[in-house]
Amino acid sequence: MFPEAYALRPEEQTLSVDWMEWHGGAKENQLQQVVRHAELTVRKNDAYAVTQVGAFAEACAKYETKVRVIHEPTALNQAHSAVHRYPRDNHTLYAALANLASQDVTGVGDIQS
Amino acid sequence: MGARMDSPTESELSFSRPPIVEAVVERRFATSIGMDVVESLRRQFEPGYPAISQLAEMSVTVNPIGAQPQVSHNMTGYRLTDRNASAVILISTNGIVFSRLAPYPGWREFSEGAAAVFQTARETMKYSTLSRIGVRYINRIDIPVRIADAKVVPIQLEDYLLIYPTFPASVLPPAQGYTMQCITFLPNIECRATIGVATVPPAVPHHLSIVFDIDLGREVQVPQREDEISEVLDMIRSEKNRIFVSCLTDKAKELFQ
Amino acid sequence: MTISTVGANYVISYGAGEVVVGASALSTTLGDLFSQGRRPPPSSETRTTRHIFKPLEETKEIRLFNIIAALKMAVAEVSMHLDPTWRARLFRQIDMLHEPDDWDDEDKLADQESFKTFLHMILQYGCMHGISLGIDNDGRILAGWEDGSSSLSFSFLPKDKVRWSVVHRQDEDIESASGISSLDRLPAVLQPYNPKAWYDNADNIPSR
Repeated sequence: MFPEAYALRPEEQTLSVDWMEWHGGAKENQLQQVVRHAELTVRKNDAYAVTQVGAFAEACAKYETKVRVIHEPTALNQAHSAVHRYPRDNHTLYAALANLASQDVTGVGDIQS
Repeated sequence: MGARMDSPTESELSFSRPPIVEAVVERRFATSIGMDVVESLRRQFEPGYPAISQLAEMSVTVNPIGAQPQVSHNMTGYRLTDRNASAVILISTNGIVFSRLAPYPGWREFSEGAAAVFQTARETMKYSTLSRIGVRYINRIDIPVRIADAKVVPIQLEDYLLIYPTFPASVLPPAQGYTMQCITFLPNIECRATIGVATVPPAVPHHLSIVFDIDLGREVQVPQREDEISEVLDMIRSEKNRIFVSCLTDKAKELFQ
Repeated sequence: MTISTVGANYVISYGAGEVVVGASALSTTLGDLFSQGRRPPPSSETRTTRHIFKPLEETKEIRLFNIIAALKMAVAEVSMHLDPTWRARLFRQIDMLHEPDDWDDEDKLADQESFKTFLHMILQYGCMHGISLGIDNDGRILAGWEDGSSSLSFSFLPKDKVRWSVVHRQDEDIESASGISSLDRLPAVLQPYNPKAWYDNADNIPSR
């Protein structure tokens, strides 16, 4: 997983994530619901990475970034959440987050099958 | 150029890393073909050569006093590249060119690939008198730049190529680049030879790159039958090899091993 | 002065410069260049237009085919310095990265200057095996390795610059560093993070 996956796009103020447990059920079902309710176009070669919120926040804190992960449901995605105070252009942090996330990555093709 | 007249042996031409960047066979038409024929050829080759870009030529009329330049652009053909970027076909109203990009597969595979393309073209467009057939090999010699005592060791071009510019060192400092073209006629194969050498931006970090371009073309007594064309191309290839080997030093050839 | 076409645009090369313009700006641009004292070409007669130039409709598939070809041609130009097996694998990766289903019409395709920097790194340090390749939203080429808990990744910038990121993870402790360096400086900046583990996989170009 590349650090660039954790970079904010120019138009973004927060990092968009999904609170997968909101969907309930087993992890497999949760991931399927995340894909189903995604507001971006999800392609078969895309992948989802799962990180514990606590570990995510701890990793950010280590790089002097105190983030807040807030549940912000949208009309199409009730599980949508946003990481506030997320830094722009901190590639050292992005690399750490990507490394952390790479421990639990599932391809969309595997999720949908 | 070297005085060698015999063809080099296979072992002399056997390099594990030949410097050929592009090998080209061209067939030029005596009379321009129409764009409808060019389009037919494009459709014929497109399935195997899906990367397509257009070729266009421009005319510019410059009026030094007053009005803006007048520009017109004419569509002349297409450049088609195969999926692996190993071969390119240029189809234009003036002719057809088949190119094989590096790594060079050898004369047999290259010439057979060219023959197949021209066969397909002939079947599509029927007969058109040829005014030129030519073979061109673009070589690039990448010379490592050495550092000694924190300074770049100057590269003596004559240590690698026997075609290089000379000028009085007392008048001009060492050259930072050059371009030379030698044009001559080779009576033994009745072909015009255009030999070009030029420094180019280095393709490999910390190297000096020199292009060594050998272009041989028959413009008189141009064969029209496929068997005769094949025979002339073989002769051109032999002559090209002789020129290539004769113009390079052993130090250059070591770079290709 | 030479004028060539790239897709629907024109590239005007003159003296020390080069400018890319669309068809609508061509006359004006040429006029500007001439009035700035660039050496103009000789006068020429206007030819009768034979075929109206219509830019080829660039569908997503054609754009993808063309960029694949451009990247592979960049590799071909230096293929004499690359291991054939490694080159074949790189070509497969290039194909996989450009599956039409993975791209939208408005997506930025691979930046060729970024790809050139990637190739220069390979030429300078050897054909590194086991790398993963990617393309970011700005078209920059990405390359990365993972070695259990550690990871090294590069984002290739134009003119032989590289953004590097290295992570070493032990138990719950993560150590991460990143920076932007020239290709020449890569070994020096990565040295504290023991890049040998990755570079050991490289087949070095023999020294001369």
